[in-house]
Order: sequence, then C-alpha cells, then structure tokens
Amino acid sequence: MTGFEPLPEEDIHAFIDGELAPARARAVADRIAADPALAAKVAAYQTDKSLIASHYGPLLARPVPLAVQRAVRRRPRRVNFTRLAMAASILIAVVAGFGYRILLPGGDVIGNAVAVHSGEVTGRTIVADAARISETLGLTLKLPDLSKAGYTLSEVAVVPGDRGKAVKIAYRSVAGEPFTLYLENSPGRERFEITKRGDVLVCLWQDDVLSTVMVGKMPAAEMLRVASLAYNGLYF
Amino acid sequence: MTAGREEAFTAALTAQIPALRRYATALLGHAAAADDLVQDCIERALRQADSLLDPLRMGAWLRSILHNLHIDALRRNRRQGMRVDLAEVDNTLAAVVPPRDHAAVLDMDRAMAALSVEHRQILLLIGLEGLNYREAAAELDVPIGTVMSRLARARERLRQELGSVPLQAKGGGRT
Repeated sequence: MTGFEPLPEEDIHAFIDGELAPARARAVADRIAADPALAAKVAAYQTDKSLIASHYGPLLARPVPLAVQRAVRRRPRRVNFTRLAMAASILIAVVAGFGYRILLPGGDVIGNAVAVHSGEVTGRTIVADAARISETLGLTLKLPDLSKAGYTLSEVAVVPGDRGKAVKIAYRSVAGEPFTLYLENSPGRERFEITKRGDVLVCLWQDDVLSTVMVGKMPAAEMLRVASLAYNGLYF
Repeated sequence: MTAGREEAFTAALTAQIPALRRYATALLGHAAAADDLVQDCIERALRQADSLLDPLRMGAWLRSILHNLHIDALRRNRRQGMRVDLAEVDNTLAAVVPPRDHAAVLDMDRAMAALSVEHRQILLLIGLEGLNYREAAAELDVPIGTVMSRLARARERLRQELGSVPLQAKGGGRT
C-alpha cells in the first residue's frame, strides 16, 4: 500500500466519467500519478467501460425485424375518453344553458347528416356488412353493433357526401326512435362536439381521416354513451 | 392526440427503435427475448403516449417503460422458477455481435449475465448510452449519490467477473 488516504470509490468513477469539478479532478489525477496500484485500477475500470461501448455499440446497426417495425404501425385508435367526456360535458352545459345553435361546426357534414337522418336526402341501400362500408369509404371500418345500448340496425345506404360517397347506417331504439350514423371520408383535426339541431341532437366525432356524425332525438348523456359505442365499434 | 402529433410521435418512436433494441439486447443478453420485450415496450408506449411529457426525452422514457416491463417479467418468472440458460445467452449474443474477438465477447456476456439487472442497467446507461450522472439520476428517479454508489458497486462486480483474465491496457482484447 502507499500510505495515502484511500480515495472514495465514487470519486474514482466520477473521475473516469468526467463528472468531477476541475479542481477535484486535478487532485485525483495527481493521486493516480503518484500511486501505481491506483493507476492500474483506474486503467482497468476505464478499459471495462470502453469494452461495454465497443461490445454492445455495434448492435445499433442491426436491421430492425419486420415484426418490431410493425409494432409501431399497429397503433391502436385510442381515444382519450376522459378528455372527450370532459369536452362533451362542457359543450352539453353550454348547449343546455343557451339552447342555441351557437356551437355549430363549420363543415357541411353535420348538415348532410341531419338531412340524411330526416329522410330529406336518400341513398342506395347496400348489403349491411363491414366490407361494403369499408370499400365505399376507402377505409377499414367495422359495422358498429349498438345492441348494448338498445339500438338495432335498420339500414345501411350509400348517400351523397361533400367529398364523394358517404355512408348512412341507420338504427332504431327499442321505442322505435331512429338514430343515424353518418360516415364520410373527410380528413380533419380531431374534434368532438355535441350540438342541437331543431329537435335532434347531433354529435360530430372527427378524427384524422373520418367524419362520424351521429343524429338522434335523445338526451345528451344518452348521445354520449351511444356515440362512444358507435365510434369505437367502427374501429375495434 | 391530434393527427399531426400522432404522426410525429410515431416517427420519433421509429427513430428510437435501433437504440432501444441495442439497450434491451445488452440488458437481457438475449437477442430474441430483447425483441419480444421491445415489442411489448412499443405497445405500452403507444398506449401511454400521453405520459411522455418531454418529446426530447423519448429515449429515456422508452428505456424506463422497457425496464419496468422487464422487472415485471422477472418477478413473474421468479415465481414460476424460470432459469436462464447461460449457454443459450452466449450463443445468442455471439451470433449478433461481429466476431471481433470471440473470447472477449463471451467473457463480457458471461460477466454481464452474472450481474444484477440494476447493475447492468447503470453500467449500460453510463457506458453505452453515454448518460451523465444527472441524466441517469433523472431516468432512474434516484439521487445522484445513489447513481454514484450503484455505479461504483456495479463496476467493481464487473471487474471481479472479468478480472480472472488479465487485461491488456488497450481495447480490452485479451489472449
């Protein structure tokens, strides 16, 4: 041994990693220079550190397997329901408070959906399956099952939309009240709005590729529930 | 998350994958198990995208997710009494590392495999990912003092594992 006060192990590593303040680093360097045993130890640790980098470093260049690449693209269409529910409750409060059409979104998709719901605009009935809906809209979608909310499917039709074909999916409640799901391939910013049009409530759920408009005569809380079921039913 | 942010998130995530796979492979010492873990990590990252507060820290965020998943898996495996086959570890890593110095590769793998996950983790964060102590402390959510003491113990353990073979001063190659 050398007769020096032993250097704390942490300081040796902080020296190797360049984490010591300059004055302290100089002091440690002096100690290392004066102590061959310590110098050997520091050299060994330094070598081990560089060995880790040279040993594992080349792993970075490996090609990424397809399965791993796909994992990134397999992004689930996740919706932040808390945020959307909050937005919806604020909108409902505003609509309930003023009862006006003050929150009407700019796009015509709502007008189209309401016209389709009222029967003012009609279309061509098609086979009620996911493949036909997907093909019509150029998106991969499912046919939402709303039976959990008490709605049964009554018709699927191709209707005119602003940007080509749109799809109407009509349901009926147990009481026979119609509920319309209007879908249009229309890119936009994520948006969720519930508004009142005459005696019907309209819910617009816009994501990056699809405008989903839901129309029916029902309380706002009920619309929120059915809208969640319908929107998720399109994707999952 | 808006479509634009979602696209940016996906692109940033994709860019991180090679580094994440490297880290996972080094941490686990097993290429196939590492890729499984990376896939689980990507899935969780996509689900928890909103929890990434600082996009510049995506690498650290991903490593934290990966580490948590790995610890969970270890706990499950411990309960089920799983044993890691050292020979398999050697073969798997030796197969993906360029055959620079095969003996050194096997020694390093064996030495790392003998350490605890915590020790491998700190050695890799500092020695491979190039984090400074402050960054490592933030990523591990521990004080800097803990990073320093853990690193010192980890390097000492690694040295003991590698130490039975004489070291050459340069490059770490051995005969």
